[in-house]
Formats: sequence, structure tokens, C-alpha cells
Amino acid sequence: MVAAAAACLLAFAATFLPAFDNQADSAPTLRIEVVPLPPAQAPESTFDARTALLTHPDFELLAAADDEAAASDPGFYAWLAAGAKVPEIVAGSDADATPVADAPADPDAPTETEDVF
Amino acid sequence: MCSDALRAPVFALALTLSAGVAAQSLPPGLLEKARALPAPTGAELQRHAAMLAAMTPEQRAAFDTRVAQWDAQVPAAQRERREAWQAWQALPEAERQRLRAAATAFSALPPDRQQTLRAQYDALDGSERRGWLLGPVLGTDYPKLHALVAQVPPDQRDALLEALRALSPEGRADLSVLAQRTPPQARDALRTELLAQPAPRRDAWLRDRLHR
Repeated sequence: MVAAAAACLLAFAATFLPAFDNQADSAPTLRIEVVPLPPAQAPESTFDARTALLTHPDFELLAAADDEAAASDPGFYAWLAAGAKVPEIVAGSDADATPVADAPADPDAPTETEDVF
Repeated sequence: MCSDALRAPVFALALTLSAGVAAQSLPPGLLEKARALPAPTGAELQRHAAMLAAMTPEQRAAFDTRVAQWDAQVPAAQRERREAWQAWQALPEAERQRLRAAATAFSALPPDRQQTLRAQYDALDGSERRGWLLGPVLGTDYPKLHALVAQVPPDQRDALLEALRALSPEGRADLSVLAQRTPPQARDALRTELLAQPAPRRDAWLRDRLHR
């Protein structure tokens, strides 16, 4: 009984010896080869470039190539056109150019996040 | 009479041939899928193929550049540009002419005046700016009509816009008052009744309804 206990204690003590320390001599950096990954690449495409172009969601917008200023910002130019005072702005005051709403917006009107057109 | 009888089949044959020619220009893999797509989507692909085929090499190079630049933009910028384009496409030609004239006059202004106007427009409420996308006619009345034209079913949208543009200014003013007097739950019915009226009678119908 005493011999068994002594053997256990001896075995336990032996685990602290460097010869039995698995972590001391087998650190990951020593055992595992580390190689940097190659630069990231785009995932392989299911379709070719021509198919991607034909199915582009904004194809017609881009094909139209409407470079005229009025088409690029119709809201702003509609606001100016409704003011109908642009030529007078040169000589007049800023207030002339502002189309002012006759009444404030409806207080229970939906917010911008709702489906407003 | 004989020529009338012949015209329809000849027209149908021409349409079929033109669709066939466009379909031939689709890549083989896409052509197979395009046949399985709903008709409008398949037709859209064929239209795109025909547009590409009609481009000169220079136009095609410019188009490719635009696509690359577009794809490099952030989604918010793409969305803004997309909305502007859709709004422009939806405008009647007469209103487009007004916008072109405004753009020409604006470009002739000194830079500081341009900046002032831009700042004034940017300071508008977002909802109001969206209203101006409907053009100078409806944009003016949008704050008052907003209650009625917000959240319109998609199948009523175009008809409603057309009806609003066709109304006289007095008709739109009457409708504005009606829209603000009508409780939210009854606005759908008001809109549907308005659209159900024959176009020439809508102004009178609105006046009657207002004084009922």
C-alpha cells in the first residue's frame, strides 16, 4: 500500500520533469509549419463577364448615358423650375428662388422610411 | 383590305425574327436560362443584348467604363442616382423641357449663387425633396397631397400620377383640401373613387365632393 502510494507520488513528481513536459519542447511554432496565405482572390464566377453585364440591374440606366444636368438631379431642377425665378435670381433676392409650400406637410404623413413616392 | 389582312402576320413575323436575332446574341448559358425566365425578364435580357450589339466599339468601351465606375460606388450613391434616373424617365416631356431650361439658367449663375441655391434645396425636408422628384407641377403640391399619395399600391401609382398631372391647379387644390380632411383609413377609397372618374370629369367631381 505504502509502495503504491510512493510510486504514485513519484510518477506525479516525474510529470514536472522537462523530459515529460509535452508542451515545453513541442510548442506550436516548432511543430506546425506556418505559411502566410496568398492574397485574396475573387470567388470563381458562375457566369462570364458578358452575362454579368447583360444581367446588370442598372443596365438601362448606364446604357442611357444621360449626361445632361437636368437628368442627373431632377428634384433640384424641378424645385428651381417651379420657382420659375432663376433668371431673376441674378438680380433679385434669394427668397425669389424658393418655392415655398402653402401649407406645412401633413403632421400624420408617413416618414421617409415608409413607401412614399 | 388585303394589305390589312397581311399586315398582322407580317408584323408578327418581323417581331419573331427580331426577337430571334436578339436571342442569338445572348451567351449560350444565358440563352438557355432566359427561355426559362418569365417573359418580361427574358425580353429585358434580349433588349439588353440588342443594345450591346448596336454599340460601336467606342460606345462599348465607354459603357464598360461607366459600369466599372458605377460598381465602385457605394450603395447609397447608386440608390440616389437610380431614383433620379427613374424620376427623370417618369417625367412628361413638357416637364423635362422645364427642367432643362432651369438647368441652363442655373449653369449661367455665378458659383456663389449656385451654392446658395444648392444649400437652400439641401436644407429642405427629405420628404419634400422626394416630392420634387415628381416634377415641378406635382412637386409644388406634394406637401399638401402627401397624405393622399403616400403608400399608393403599385398598380395605382402610374394612373394616379397621370391623373394628378392632368388635373387643373384648382382641381389639385380641391384635392389637397379633401386629402387633408379625409381620415387616413378613408384615403384609399378617395383615391380609388378619383381614379374611377372619367378624366375630363375629375375637376368637377372634386369640386362637388368638396362642397358636399
